[in-house]
Amino acid sequence: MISINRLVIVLVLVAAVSALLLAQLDTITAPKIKQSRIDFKLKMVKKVLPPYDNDPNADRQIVALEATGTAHVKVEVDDERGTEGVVVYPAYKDGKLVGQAFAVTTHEGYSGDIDLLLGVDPSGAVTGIEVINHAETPGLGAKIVSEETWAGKKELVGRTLADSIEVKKDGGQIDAIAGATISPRAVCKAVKAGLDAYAKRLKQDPATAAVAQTGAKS
Amino acid sequence: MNYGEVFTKGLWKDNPVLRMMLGMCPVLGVSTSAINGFGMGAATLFVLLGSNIAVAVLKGYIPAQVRIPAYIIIIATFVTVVDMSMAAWFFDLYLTLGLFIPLIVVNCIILGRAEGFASKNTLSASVIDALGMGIGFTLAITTLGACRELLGNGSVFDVQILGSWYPPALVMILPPGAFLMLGFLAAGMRRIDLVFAQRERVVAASRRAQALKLATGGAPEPAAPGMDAVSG
Repeated sequence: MISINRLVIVLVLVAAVSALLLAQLDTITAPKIKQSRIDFKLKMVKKVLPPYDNDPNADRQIVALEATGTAHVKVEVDDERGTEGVVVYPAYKDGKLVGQAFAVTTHEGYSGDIDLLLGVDPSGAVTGIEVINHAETPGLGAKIVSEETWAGKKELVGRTLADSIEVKKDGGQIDAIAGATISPRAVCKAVKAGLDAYAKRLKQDPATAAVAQTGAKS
Repeated sequence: MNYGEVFTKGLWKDNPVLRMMLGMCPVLGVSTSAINGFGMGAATLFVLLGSNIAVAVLKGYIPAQVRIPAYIIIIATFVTVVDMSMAAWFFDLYLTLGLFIPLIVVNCIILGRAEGFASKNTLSASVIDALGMGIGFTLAITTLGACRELLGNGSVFDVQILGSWYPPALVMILPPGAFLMLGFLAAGMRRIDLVFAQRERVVAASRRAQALKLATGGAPEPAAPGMDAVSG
């Protein structure tokens, strides 16, 4: 008969060694993972914005906004600056504001939230969209990530709130995906919510408006 | 111990997915495309190898009463290692597979091999067993993913194979398709086994008949004992 102490000691030892190992690995990987996430987001920012000559990451603004409804601007905590709000990445060309990028999220995806990065120019027209996070069905709803598999991604570019931002099935002009209407529809709604927030709040917000006036800092 | 057999049994005879029907949760969930299946298989292979090695080394020190929680901690540790390493060094792959990595913890193949093999066998045999089972799992889930992708999307490994004339059977990449295709593959595997067994029986029977012929010195042929097998 093995005493209960031995059982406890063995289990504690196994757990302790494993915890130590993972803690070590975490110190190695954590900065790399953080950098990968930032790089990925900036890559997407670059894709949705028109050509620029500043550093959108350094010039980014955190705008305090409330998020309501099923599709809305994504409110997140900026780790580096420690403030919460919508992170807006501005793009400047020759000192002139040419576009702003920010994340939008919707709960109306087929499985889980869909996060988009939306680029908008000062006139309120879409300059680009990229899906940064989703859990749609691979090979079906997941086709929204690429314009090769979903023509609607390109069709949305250039549209303003005054244009049709609905899938054809809902009486709009945007292509849906055969067999998967839910995902493109969710994207359209998110884009609409993003443009709406931009027109109503972000455009006039003191933080972003001030940057727009003073021009590029870099 | 015959290492060759330890290795090959995971590939075919005791294939974890198509024979033992283990680890169904990741198999059904992730096999929507060939590349997803392969990534999941490779990650599982690594965890299986790590846990089999750790369990084979530690088996003498872990009392039987706490072996299951100890194995679970070991497996969870390796899964976390895969999760963190993939996020740090293969971020693109992590974006598509990251969601499924934590699922490996509950894959019963890994606990099954730790409990059923590594805890009773030597380190080298456990490594061979992990490789055989892991590769068998990877092959099965990749095949399943490739078949579902082909029928449901007309492509394999994202390469379009079937032209626009083919109307994709969407059901194959939706959850029901996983069950359907798994059934077909498992049935197909048994069919192949049956054909081979049949052929072996035929060969054995004709050998017996020949031997009988020699023994009786070419006398009128009696009913060969293997005849039933040949016709059946």
